[in-house]
Amino acid sequence: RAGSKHATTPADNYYLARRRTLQVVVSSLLTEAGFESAEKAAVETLTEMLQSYISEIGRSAKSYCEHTARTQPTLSDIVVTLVEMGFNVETLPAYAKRSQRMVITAPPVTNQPVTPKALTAGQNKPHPSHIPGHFPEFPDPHTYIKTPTYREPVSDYQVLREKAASQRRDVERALTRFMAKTGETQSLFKDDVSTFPLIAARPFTVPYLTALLPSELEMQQMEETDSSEQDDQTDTENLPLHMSTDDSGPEKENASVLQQNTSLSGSRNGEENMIDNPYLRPVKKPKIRRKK
Amino acid sequence: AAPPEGAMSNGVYVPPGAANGDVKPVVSTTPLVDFLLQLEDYTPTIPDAVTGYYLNRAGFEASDPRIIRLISLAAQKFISDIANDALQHCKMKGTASGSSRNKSKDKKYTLTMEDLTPALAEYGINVKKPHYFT
Repeated sequence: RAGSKHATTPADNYYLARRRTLQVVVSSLLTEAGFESAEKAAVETLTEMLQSYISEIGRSAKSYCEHTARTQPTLSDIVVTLVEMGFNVETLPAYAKRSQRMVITAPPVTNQPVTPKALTAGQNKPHPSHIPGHFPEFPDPHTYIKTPTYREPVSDYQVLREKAASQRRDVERALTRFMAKTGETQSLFKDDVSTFPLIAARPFTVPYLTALLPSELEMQQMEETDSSEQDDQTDTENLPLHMSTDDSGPEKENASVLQQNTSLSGSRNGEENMIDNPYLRPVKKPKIRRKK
Repeated sequence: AAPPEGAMSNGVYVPPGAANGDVKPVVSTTPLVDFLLQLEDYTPTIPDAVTGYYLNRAGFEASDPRIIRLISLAAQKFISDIANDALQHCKMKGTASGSSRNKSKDKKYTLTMEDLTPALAEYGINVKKPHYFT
C-alpha cells in the first residue's frame, strides 16, 4: 500500500489519500519538534507507527468495551487502553495546551470524496439493516446459493415389507430377552441356565379365571360400546399368562410381548384409575380380523 | 512512562499502603473528563475523518467526536515524544565533541535513522532498516 512510482488505480488512491495525510501530519510534528528535514525512511517509519498506534488504540478500546458487555466504547475504555499501552494520561492536557500555543501547522486536510471501489462484481449486494455503514459489504448473492440434497425415501413395497418384518422380529426378540434378563427365568436344560432362558410362568391362584372371563377383543368391544372408563394398569403379569397358557386364537397372535398394556378383567370391576397415562392405556387393536 | 499508582479509570482506587499513612492516596475522578469538555473546539493536527477511518477499520465505532479527537491527540503526543527524543540524540551527537561554541549548533537538524533507532529502542521498538537497497 505504500506509494510507488507506478500509476495507481482509484481503489489504491482511496487508501493512499489517508496515508498521505498521515505523512503530512508526521512531517508537521517533526517540524514542530525542531527538525528541518528528515530521511524518507524515518518519515515512513513514523507514519507506519502512527497508523498502527491509532489502529491498536481502536482495537484495544473495543476489546475493553466488549469485555464489560457493552458495545459503545466510552472514555474509560480509552483511558484504560492508553494506560495499558504505556501512555501517561496525565500529560495529555498539558500537551494539548502546548500545541495550542504553537501554530497548528497542518490545517485539516479535506480528503478526497469517497471513491467507490471498482465494482467488478456486477451483481446487486443486499444492504445490511442494523450493521453500521463502515463495515465491509456482504459478498455477492451467488455466495449464498445452495442446492439441498436429500435422498428419496425408499418406497418399494417389497423392501418396506421386509424391513418391517425384520424390525418386528428384532424387537420381539430384544424384548423377550430383556424380560428374561430382568425377571424370573426357567430353564429347559438342566445344566445350562443361561443359553435359552424362558420367562418364568407365574401360576395364578385362581387358574380358571381366564376361562370364565371374556377375551381381550371382546372386552374392548364391550368397552367401546359401553364407553366406560379405561383401564390403565400396566400388567406384566399377563405376559407370562399369554405365554404359558395356550390362548391361541387368531386374535391372540397379536398379543405378543410387544403388548405391554393388557386390560385385566378383574380390575375392570374394581379399580378406576383416574390418571389417564397414555402409556398405560390398553392398546387399540385394529378391527379387521386376520384372514386365515 | 508507567502510570501513577492509584489513578485508575474508575477513580476510587486506594493503594494498599494508604492505611499506614506513608503513601498519599491519589483519589481522582475519571481523568480527562474535564479535558474532554475542552476538546469541543480544539482540532488536533490529524483530521477527524482520517482518525475515524482507521478506528473504523479496527472495529471502533465512535459515538462522540471528542473521543476521536482525544485519540488523535494521544497519537500525536506519542509521535512527538519520539521526535523529541530523537532530537535529543541528534543534539547530543552534535555537541558531544564540543566543537562550536559560538551559538547553538547549526539549526538544521535532520532526522536520520541513526537518531531514530536509539530513540525507538527506549520505547521497546526495534527497527532495522537496510543501509542501502538496490
